[in-house]
Amino acid sequence: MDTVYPLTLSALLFGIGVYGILARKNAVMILASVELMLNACNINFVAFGAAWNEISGQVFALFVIAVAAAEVGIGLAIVLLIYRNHVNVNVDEIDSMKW
Amino acid sequence: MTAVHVGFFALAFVILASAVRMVTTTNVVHAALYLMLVLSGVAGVFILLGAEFLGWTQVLVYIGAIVVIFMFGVMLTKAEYGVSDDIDNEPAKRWGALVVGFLIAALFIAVFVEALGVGDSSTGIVAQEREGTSARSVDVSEIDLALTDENVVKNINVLASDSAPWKDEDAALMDLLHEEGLDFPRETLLPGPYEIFPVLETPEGLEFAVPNWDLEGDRPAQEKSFEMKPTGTPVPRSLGTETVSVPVCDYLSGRNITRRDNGEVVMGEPLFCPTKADEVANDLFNRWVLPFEAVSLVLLAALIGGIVLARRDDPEHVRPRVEEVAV
Amino acid sequence: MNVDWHAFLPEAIVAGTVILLLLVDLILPNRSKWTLGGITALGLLAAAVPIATLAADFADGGENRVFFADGYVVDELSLVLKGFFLASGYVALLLAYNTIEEGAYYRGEFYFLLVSAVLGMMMIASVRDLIGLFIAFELFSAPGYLLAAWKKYDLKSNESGMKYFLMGVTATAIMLYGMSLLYGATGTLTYSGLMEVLPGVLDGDTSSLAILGIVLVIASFAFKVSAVPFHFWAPDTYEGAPTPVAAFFSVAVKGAGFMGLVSLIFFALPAGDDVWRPMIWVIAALTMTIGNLIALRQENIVRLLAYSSIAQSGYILAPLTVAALPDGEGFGPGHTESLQAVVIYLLVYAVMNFGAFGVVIAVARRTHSGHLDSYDGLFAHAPSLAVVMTMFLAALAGIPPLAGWLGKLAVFTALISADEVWGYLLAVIVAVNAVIAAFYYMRVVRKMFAEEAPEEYLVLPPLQPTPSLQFTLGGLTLLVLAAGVTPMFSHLSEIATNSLSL
Repeated sequence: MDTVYPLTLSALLFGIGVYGILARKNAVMILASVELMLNACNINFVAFGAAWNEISGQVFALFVIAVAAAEVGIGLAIVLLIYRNHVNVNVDEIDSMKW
Repeated sequence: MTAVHVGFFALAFVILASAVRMVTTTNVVHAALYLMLVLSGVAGVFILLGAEFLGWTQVLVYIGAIVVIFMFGVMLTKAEYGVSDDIDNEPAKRWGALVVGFLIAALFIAVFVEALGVGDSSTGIVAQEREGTSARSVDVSEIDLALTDENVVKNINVLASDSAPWKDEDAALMDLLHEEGLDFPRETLLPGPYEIFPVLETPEGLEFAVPNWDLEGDRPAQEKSFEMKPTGTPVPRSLGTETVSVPVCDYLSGRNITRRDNGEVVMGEPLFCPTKADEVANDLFNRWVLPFEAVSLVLLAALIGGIVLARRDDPEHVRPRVEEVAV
Repeated sequence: MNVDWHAFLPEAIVAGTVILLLLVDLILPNRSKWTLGGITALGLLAAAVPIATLAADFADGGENRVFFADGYVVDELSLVLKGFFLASGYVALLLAYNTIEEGAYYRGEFYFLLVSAVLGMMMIASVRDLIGLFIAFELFSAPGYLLAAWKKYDLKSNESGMKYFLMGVTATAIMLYGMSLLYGATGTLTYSGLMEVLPGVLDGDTSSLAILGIVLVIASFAFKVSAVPFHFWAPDTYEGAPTPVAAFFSVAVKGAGFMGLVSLIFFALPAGDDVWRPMIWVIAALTMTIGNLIALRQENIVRLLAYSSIAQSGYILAPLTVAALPDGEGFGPGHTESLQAVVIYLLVYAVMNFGAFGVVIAVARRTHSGHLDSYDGLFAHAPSLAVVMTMFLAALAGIPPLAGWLGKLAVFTALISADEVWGYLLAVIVAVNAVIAAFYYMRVVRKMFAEEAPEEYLVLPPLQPTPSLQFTLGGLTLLVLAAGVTPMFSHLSEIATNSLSL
């Protein structure tokens, strides 16, 4: 398969992720949109790895998956903490500091 | 349009449709489920691209663990099962987001098409066909790389050609080497249309025998000779980029298989057939040991810090006095 | 696999400290948990010993030590930076010690995360491949997100952690996309591979792929060093996070971001200089200008320092614009000068910024406030702190003979050495900004000396910082004085530039 097809998929997925980050205000939903972007990166790594017939792309994607797990854990811990103190996880309402 | 293409486009459709629903739905539980669909689709794409191990890891870790954490997050913070109108920014911001997202995707796609072209494999990156045929393009520059590798026997054999007549030349070379008193173990010589560079282990390292007859053009049958060259010498022939037959792994039998033009399937030695998981493991534990160990610390830190932040404190244990430095 | 254990010993000791902290925290009863801070300090100091022996080895003409399949290089630059990160961790520990011991914090876990972050920073000084860079980045970012939210019952702190986290993971995603494009364009993940392949790729068919990759990676680094337009997280995060953590962020995390950027620019992407040079130029000019202008109207000392640190990021970025300027066969004089300027500025900046944050922490122990008005008449009720703060602020403003001017001088030298119009232009922008910055630093000084202090503080005895704060502030004061008049930092930065002469 031509490399450009998976790359196009990843570009669209990344764009949707960016939309999600900007359009959502619920922190969990923003985090989910970041996951879309990370998956777009992984598609790239695997597609390029296949094109170069090289395995390191897949290894990189493996690392991304592991780190994504860590990040989701951190994110939801913070979200839970805020929910307990504030009963809301919308980023526009959690805005006590203004420049 | 092959089966792989059909599969890919079907998966791409599922992924993109679910992703769009994920970022637009007003039901947070549905959003988490759409995320699961996206992740499953991506796992399918990985498998289509030949990354089986990664595909199943994606299912295991991403869908099995991460989505579950997400579901917990959704349930614990926003346990409304119905529609919530409070998770999106106002419409003006959403339009702005749409424009930004669209521009980014369009820019990326434009770059990809400009750099790689569509349906044109002549540019720098050569796509690899994987659906059963064993043909792919091999650039001659790979030969240098292969010969510096310690798996020199394996890699040389991969640099095979589908021109069947060469088989005779291989035999002729073996005869010639035999006359010189150099014998090679038979198991390094695969059956089939390989060009063989027999390899000799010398105190200086590996050496390989290079026939110095012209393999491309007319081959005068008389003046056959060979030279022993050290590993790392570029192979004195010019393939250019051409489509050749290479063995692909048959994961069921664990062997290399090569399909010939006449449809015959040749089984190779199991020695030369690492699975994707083997390759990933090999790379992971040789080149990337340090990041591998470091990522375990990242996970440990995330785990411990996450527990501290998310746990309900025992009032006996912790004095909630955080106001004393209110900067 | 051959590991050069001597070269890896600093990281190994810090990693051992991380594990030790966890185990000891598990075993110790609550009343003896104060020892954890001591263990942390000892671990960090012990890790400095092999750094010293390695430095001695280099001074004797030792070679760069390369291991982990070329992915890890211990050279003189990495040693200087590792020492810097260890020292930053140690100072952050001293600043945090009383706050953490007295507040409602989980102590063991706090020290554990702090040391993990230091380990990630030390790794970033040595990694020479993209996977290692990414993981080292996560190793100091992930504890950072958690530490920012460490004041569990303070909504501001939670918010600070959330903002930092969301911005951070977005930047990570952007960085990864850029890395994937670099990998796609070149087929390699190692810096040495990129060095070799990138020039050809940039002239070839897939150049746009590589260019986009470089742009995305540099943009994500702009986030990490809180450069405009990716700076929004910094003031909120610094204000909300526990103040010692904010000090750690503004010095060490920023330093690690710069180390990652420097290693990419000097060891992986010099061929892409046409892409990143204009980008960094614009980012640097915007960062220092916007940072300083917004700092002028801040009413909270931590936010003021946050914007000041954004502006300082701009100064540190500026010399990078003259790095890797092609000059015949090799690079122009700006190549070494710029690395030297970055290293020297980071060292100087660490001393003065840690100092300023240390005073803020000490003062907040009495006033419980970060508002600028709480500095009114500080000289009357805390004379020593007011004097010390004046010195640090003057150093930040770049007034000789305090250390700050050294950094500015190095930046100017580097920019001028390129002998290009845009180099001079950026030098002018730096100079103008240095003048603007003096206004808000002096505003704080004026408040401390000229305004009337509230009655309630005047009746109290002069404010005495805690012993650990006294020790830290005393040491930093000596350093800010000594570094300004002796060539100690210049010497260190010269050692660091040895790594460029291969």
